[in-house]
Amino acid sequence: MNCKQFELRLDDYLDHELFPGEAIDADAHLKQCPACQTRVERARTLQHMLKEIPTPPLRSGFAREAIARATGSDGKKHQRRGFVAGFSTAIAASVALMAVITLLPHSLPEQLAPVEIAQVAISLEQTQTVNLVFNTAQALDGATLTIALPANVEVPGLPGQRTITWQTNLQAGKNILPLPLKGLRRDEGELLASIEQDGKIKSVRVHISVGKTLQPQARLHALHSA
Amino acid sequence: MLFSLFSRKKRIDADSFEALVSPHVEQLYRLAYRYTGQQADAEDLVQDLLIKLYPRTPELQQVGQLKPWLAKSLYYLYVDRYRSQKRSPIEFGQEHDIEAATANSNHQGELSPQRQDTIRDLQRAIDHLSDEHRILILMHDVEAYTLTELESILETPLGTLKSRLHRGRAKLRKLLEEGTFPASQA
Ligand SMILES: [Zn+2]
Repeated sequence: MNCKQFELRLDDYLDHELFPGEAIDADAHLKQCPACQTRVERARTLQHMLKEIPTPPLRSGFAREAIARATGSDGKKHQRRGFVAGFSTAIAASVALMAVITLLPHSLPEQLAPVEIAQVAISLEQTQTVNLVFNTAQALDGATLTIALPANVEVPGLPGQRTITWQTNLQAGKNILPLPLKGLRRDEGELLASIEQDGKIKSVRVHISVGKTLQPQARLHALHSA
Repeated sequence: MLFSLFSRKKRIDADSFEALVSPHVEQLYRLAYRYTGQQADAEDLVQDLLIKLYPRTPELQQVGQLKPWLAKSLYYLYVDRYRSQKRSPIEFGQEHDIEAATANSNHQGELSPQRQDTIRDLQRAIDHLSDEHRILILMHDVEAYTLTELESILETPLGTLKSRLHRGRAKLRKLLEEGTFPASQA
């Protein structure tokens, strides 16, 4: 057996699945080949490490709560997702949720000022990325995020879709959602971004002007091309 | 009267459902965590599975080997959700929940900071694998499902699984060699 042949049988060798004859050949090769010895040692280490990858322990009470929810024994209607025990008290006590909006195409904002209503200007027929920054005091698991778009913009790839809803987890601190928006028509509009968790909703409005607040150069360019 | 009969019947169902699934919830959660890498997503996935399975309690009572049967149901639920997620154009770039896992797991104390780094590299490398390879390595090499069990869970012939596993491992070793994975020092 040579190195190439040994390498092909490495996993069978590790799993003790070689035929007896092959196993003898493999051992003989291994005895005189430091390269394959290293190969085996590394592969064994890897297999050992795979078994060590941790999982967070199952939250105590989860099994009971989840089964009660599934059977309706908890007296509540099924919530499809976003179920985190103790969340309602946690959110009431300490979550300060705000949206920070900046407009910086293709880059993350360096400085963020919290505002309730943000202003964003987008050029007509162009796609610009609006970074919606959700700042939370603590992690929000299984929150429902909804973006309701005004008629003057759309998300490229989702033509005609006015509302985008999905489930996500927000980590404590800044969570940045780069939202690509394409200016559809010269108009004013208001985007509404909401986060819902356990019946509680936080929203932020973003005022969006399309094709109006152009940069001087862009305006000049627009005049020229008009 | 009708109402109370109905609720008693319901109670019986709920009790047998609980008796059937509760021994498996922890293992399902572990699998779900392997798939999703996020504790909350793992809980959601298990919760959804239980909601879907409850109306099928009589069917569950007929299943001989519930562990692989449940693992299979969870896998298909995950695949469904994963596919619909991939269609979503906007996603938060989420890092694997490895910090939470190492901080809270039963391994706590056993894992040195270097070991945690190494495991983080390993997790990243696994995340780079194709879903086919990733799932198989997570189920077989991490969660120790046998290939025979996986044959029915993943509805794939043994030979295919074996060569897929070997290709996945080879790919993983390659990724780790190209990266900063200090396997020989571990
Ligand atoms: Zn060799």
